[in-house]
Amino acid sequence: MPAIRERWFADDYELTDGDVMDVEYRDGTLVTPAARGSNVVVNNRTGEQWRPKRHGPGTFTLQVWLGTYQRQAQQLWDDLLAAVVQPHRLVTWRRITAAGESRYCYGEVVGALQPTAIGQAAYRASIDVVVPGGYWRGDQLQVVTVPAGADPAGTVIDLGAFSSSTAMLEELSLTLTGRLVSPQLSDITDRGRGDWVSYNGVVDTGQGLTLDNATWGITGSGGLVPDGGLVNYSGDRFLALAATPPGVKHQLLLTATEIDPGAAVTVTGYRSYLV
Amino acid sequence: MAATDLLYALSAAGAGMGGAPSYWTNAGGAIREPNGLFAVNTWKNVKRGATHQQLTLTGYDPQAAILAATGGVIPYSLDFLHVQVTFTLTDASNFSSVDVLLLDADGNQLATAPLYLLDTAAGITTLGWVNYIGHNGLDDGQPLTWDDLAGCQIVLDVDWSPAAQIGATFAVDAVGMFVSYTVDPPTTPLQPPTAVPVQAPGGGVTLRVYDRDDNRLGTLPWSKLSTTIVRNDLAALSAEVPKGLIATGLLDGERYLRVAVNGRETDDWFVLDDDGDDDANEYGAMRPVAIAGTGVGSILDWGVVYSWQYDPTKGTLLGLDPNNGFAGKTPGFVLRTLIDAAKARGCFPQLTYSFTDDVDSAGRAWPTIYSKTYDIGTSLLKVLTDAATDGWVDWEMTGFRLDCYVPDTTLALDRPDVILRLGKGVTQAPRKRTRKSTRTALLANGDQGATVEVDDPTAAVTYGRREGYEGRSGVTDVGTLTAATTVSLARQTDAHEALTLEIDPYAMPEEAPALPRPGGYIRYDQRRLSPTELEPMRVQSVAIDYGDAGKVSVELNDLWVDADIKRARQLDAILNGSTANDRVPQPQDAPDSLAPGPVLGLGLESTAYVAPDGTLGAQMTASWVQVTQNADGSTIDDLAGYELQWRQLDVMSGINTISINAITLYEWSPVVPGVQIDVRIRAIDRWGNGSTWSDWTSIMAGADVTPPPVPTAPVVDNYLGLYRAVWDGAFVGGLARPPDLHHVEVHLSQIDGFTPDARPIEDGGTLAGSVFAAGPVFRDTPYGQTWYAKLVAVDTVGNRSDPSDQSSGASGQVVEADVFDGAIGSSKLADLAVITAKIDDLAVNNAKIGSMEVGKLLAGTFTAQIIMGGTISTSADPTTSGGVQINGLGIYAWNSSGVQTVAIDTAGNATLTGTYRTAASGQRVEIGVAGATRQLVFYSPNGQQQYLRSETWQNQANSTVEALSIRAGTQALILATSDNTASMWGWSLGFIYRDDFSVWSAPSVLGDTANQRERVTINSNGEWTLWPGGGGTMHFLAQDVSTSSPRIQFVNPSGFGAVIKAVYANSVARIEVRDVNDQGFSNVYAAAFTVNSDLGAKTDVRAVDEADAAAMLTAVLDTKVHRYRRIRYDGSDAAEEIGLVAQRAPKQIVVGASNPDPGVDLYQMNTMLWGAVQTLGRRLAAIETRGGKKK
Repeated sequence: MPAIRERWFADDYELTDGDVMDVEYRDGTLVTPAARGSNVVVNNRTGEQWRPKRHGPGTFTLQVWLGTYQRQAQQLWDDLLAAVVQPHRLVTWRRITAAGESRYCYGEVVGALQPTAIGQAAYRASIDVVVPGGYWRGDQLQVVTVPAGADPAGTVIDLGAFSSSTAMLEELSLTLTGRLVSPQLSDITDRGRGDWVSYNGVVDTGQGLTLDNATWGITGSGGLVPDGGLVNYSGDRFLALAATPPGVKHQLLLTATEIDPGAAVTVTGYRSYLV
Repeated sequence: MAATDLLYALSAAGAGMGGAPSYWTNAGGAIREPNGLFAVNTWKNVKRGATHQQLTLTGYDPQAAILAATGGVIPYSLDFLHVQVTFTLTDASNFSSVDVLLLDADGNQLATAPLYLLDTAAGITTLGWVNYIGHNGLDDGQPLTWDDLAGCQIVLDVDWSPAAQIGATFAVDAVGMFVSYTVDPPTTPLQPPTAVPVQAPGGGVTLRVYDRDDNRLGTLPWSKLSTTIVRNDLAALSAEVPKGLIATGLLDGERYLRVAVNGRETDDWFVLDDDGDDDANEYGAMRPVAIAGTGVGSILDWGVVYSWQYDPTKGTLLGLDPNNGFAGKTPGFVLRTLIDAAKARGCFPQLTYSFTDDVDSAGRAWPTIYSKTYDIGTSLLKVLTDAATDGWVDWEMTGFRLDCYVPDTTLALDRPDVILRLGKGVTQAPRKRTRKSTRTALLANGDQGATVEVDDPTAAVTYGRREGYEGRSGVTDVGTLTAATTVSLARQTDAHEALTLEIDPYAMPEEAPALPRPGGYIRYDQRRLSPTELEPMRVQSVAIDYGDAGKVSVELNDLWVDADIKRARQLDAILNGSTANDRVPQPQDAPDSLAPGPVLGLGLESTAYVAPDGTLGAQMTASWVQVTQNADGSTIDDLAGYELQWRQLDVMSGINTISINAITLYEWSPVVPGVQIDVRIRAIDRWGNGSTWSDWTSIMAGADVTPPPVPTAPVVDNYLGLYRAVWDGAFVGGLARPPDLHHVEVHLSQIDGFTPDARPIEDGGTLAGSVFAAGPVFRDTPYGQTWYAKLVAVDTVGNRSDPSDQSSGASGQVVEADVFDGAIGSSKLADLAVITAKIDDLAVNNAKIGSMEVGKLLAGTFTAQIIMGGTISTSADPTTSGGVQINGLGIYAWNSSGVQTVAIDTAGNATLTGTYRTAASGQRVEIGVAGATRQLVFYSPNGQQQYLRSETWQNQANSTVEALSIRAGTQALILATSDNTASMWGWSLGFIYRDDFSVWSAPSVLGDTANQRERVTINSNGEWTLWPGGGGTMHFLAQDVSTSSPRIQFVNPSGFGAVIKAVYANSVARIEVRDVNDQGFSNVYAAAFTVNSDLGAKTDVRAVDEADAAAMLTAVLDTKVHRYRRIRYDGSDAAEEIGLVAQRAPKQIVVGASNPDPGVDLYQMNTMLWGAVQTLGRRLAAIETRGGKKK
């Protein structure tokens, strides 16, 4: 696939006009969020006790170049400020990669913007953007539906559609369609976290139970009124999946004490990227 | 009072209102919509030229009307106000509109709404109404409250445009007012939520300052603000406000603070306690002023208990307060009395309360009465907080209103839907469990040498022996001391735990505003009782930081605290005495007498306890009202004490009498628990005069009403083929075994989620057995059948706990090491060990029989898959005596004469004699019906018979005819060997047959019954011959092969006739009539011979001209007429004829000139003659004309 020109948008405002405005350098645009947390020093033990880490907020810097003569550059500068400086809300930063994939994040400009005048014709400025949520996500909604098999060992759900992600999948929506009694979804991804989420109740035929990791919502459909107390999980989300090494697919295992034909699992969400 | 009553009253007042408006509904249930009606007859003359006037309505009291409707219960909440007005206008020409204003008692406007007018013509009674004042809040956004209705005023604001006419009047006939309110507290969460600012676009949090009279003085622009609301305790507020932004005097004097979130004030008001700043602060005029406030309930701290009555207007003492101390009073009475006394002295005039002596703020009757004396100087806040700590009440302040509730009712709101999830928004969750105060043995000392020691062996296993000491002065009875110490120890046998959750309200936009007020229950996803149940966690306090980085801290306690509070209440009951049902009436007036007055208000309480020696006893507490009067009502001054008598007639005879000093509370023990005890009391003066005995008052001894804790769910399994339900001896929440636990019932049912029924299973209940300690109950249930098990703990007086969680299981087969199924193999069983006596009758059957060789076998019903035998016979020799036999050759039967009737051999030959029927009767087929052999009879549904019959008979020639006849009624179809079926009659079809080797034989249809002749024959060439009567025949001959012409031959009995044939030759079709042999032609005779000459059947029609006609004359003249004789093919001579010869005739009239048999067309020939005659005619006329000319 031929590479295309990389493009950047702040909400719907394109920063890479390529004519009178563009992102100049790629330096600073691919910065991953730093890990948060620290290892623990234990007396009389060598080194530190390792602890799993989480990522902090992400940052990236855009080197923007504006204008061809001063009056237009001033107008472009005003437009740019109006587009990216939104202290009361988060701006959607969208990037179309050279491979043509659209990714976006929610970011804010917290620092001062200091343009450098290039003669009287143009401005040059670097925009430091902080991504409080840490991660970028793909623009395309991925939906994986797998019917539950009768195999007593459980049904493996292949989530390879998500596996090109480079960051943890924390905002997937899991929908269990009945009839399932005490279903459990376990992360059996090779080198994964091994977490699980279970519902200690019955999702009857025609009913659905949706666990939305993004909103922590527990919703039922088809007449199911879920009891939040029946949802049990091992991790700090209902079920979050770590990013996989190259070539390894995400996999879930569905088990239940009773599975009737028609039961299925649907996983919905977006790919997640460090940057 | 119902809504309809009001409407009726309104109508009677002259409003002319026809029934309720259509939008009016009476929801019933908890929501009621009745109340105030007031009628006015105020004629209001409008001022000349007035543009608007206000008319204040009077004569109503909505609070009184509601109380009358509810029986004195103050509504839980008010929804809206509905006002109806009827009025009359004398001149409506400049009348504009009417607004309804709702004013408070001070004349401040609460709300306004325009009156909706039905009609405004002059001289008629007009109805106007306004709905839903306050439904969406009053003008200030606050809901309509009970206090708003106190002294509220309704003002009609009448507008005229441009101005009223001279002499116009506006006369109000009647006004009805309706308030929608809710009496009962809602079962669904309607408790005002804890105010948490979450995602409040356009809103904000403001700090408002009020004075004592509820006047809003201003707003404090805060930089820091936080509040803490605590269960049954004072709330707290702290804030920082820049000094330069505080208006002058705003914080001077008595001030109250309220927090408004998004313009809506929270129910928690605060008293401004402290404000202060630091002049040295470098921020100068804008330096922060620290402000601290406590919940508005702290105004109760400004009043104290006086033990005597004091008249502040005179500065004199009026004597001892007869209510001090309180004996057998409800918490409502105690608090109300003390508050009212303080208010009478001028304390906290702004304070109101919503409970009464009899019911709490939700209208719920106080269940318990208490006896208590307060020290002089005790603040009323302390009285209130002690009442809460002791479990008398739950309380909270709503504005200046004190609401008190029966504990664990209104304020114990369970919100199972509020689940705080760790990863979602919990930022901190510090937990602390302390074992410091844990004790496992208590030594208690009362007065007069009463000393007991109580220990808890179960707790000692965990914590070892930890001793504690409790001094209980005033308790002289060992039983009371034991009971109190036991309960007190139960509070100390486990670790105490507290958990505080700090949450980010912005991460929990749904949960944070839904947090119940302190006292309610929520869930925390890190605390579970089981995989299917989250632990209810009680909210002890909610602290809210309203800053930019707002956060909410929720202090939670678990089940342990609830149990602890219940024990505290139990302890209080033991030491103070209480009864659930007794009310203490006031002393009565009576005439003077020397004997003391009767003792009133005897209340009893009894608690079971386990004595140090392990025996179960019951302790008694009696309380009564001090006798203050003699029997005649005069003040008693010689009371010596009381005599108390008690009896337990069920277990002992006689009456026990106890002499008591002049006190009002007495405890004694032991009495027999679980048995009714009767107690009465009288007063004795120092001279020995006794009052009349009080009535016997009875309770169940040891009748504590505290049920045991809930046992843990049973463990169910299969044990030696029996269903086993085991209690592990523990209780939910790790609570200790109560000392008065008697047993734990094990309930079983096949119904999932069943409710335990204390009757035995055999009697329709669910009780399967009981255990007295950890242990099992067994039941023989069918293998594999699922039974559900629950436990119910029962104490010695029969208090039953709630059922435990359910377990389920099923019994199954036993597989044990000794003799399990299949354990004894055939090698272990001695040969010939199974004798006949060891085999049950009929036990050996089916698969247990492989092959059997016996000399003789007698059996009843013999069922087998395969029976192999040489001969199976119904008798030894059926060939002589009759019977059935199956042998190697086939199946045979013989009649009683030994004649074989059935023979079916293995070659497939079958002989069945007798009659064969397809059914016993009705529609059927029978073969060989008796008396009519050789026939097959078909019985139709109506009983008619049809036959298929083989017959022989003699024909006229006396030869035998063999025939097969099919007969249906009188008709028959006969297939016979001869055409002469002499004895048969009717229409018959004879000897039609065909075999495989011959062509069709000639069939004929016999039609002539008299002569037995055929009427139709068909020969093998397919030629038909018909005899239509007589000797003549018609033959449908085979076709003329040369011309493929079909032919019909008519022949008379003499052999003369003709042949009619259809010929097609040279593209012309024609009918030919030939002689009888189809050789020459035959004659055709007819009355007329007509040729079709229709113009419509012709084309190219044109009249011939004279030349053409002349040519016809020439042709006629040129054609010779011939004489000849026709050739006859039978050889006979024919007569001479005249005529034309086709070959010599004009071509115009010749037909088939090229055929073998050309002819002459008579029609054309005559027409040619016609043309010739016309020519002749013209020529004759011409001759005549010329001759005339010549003349």
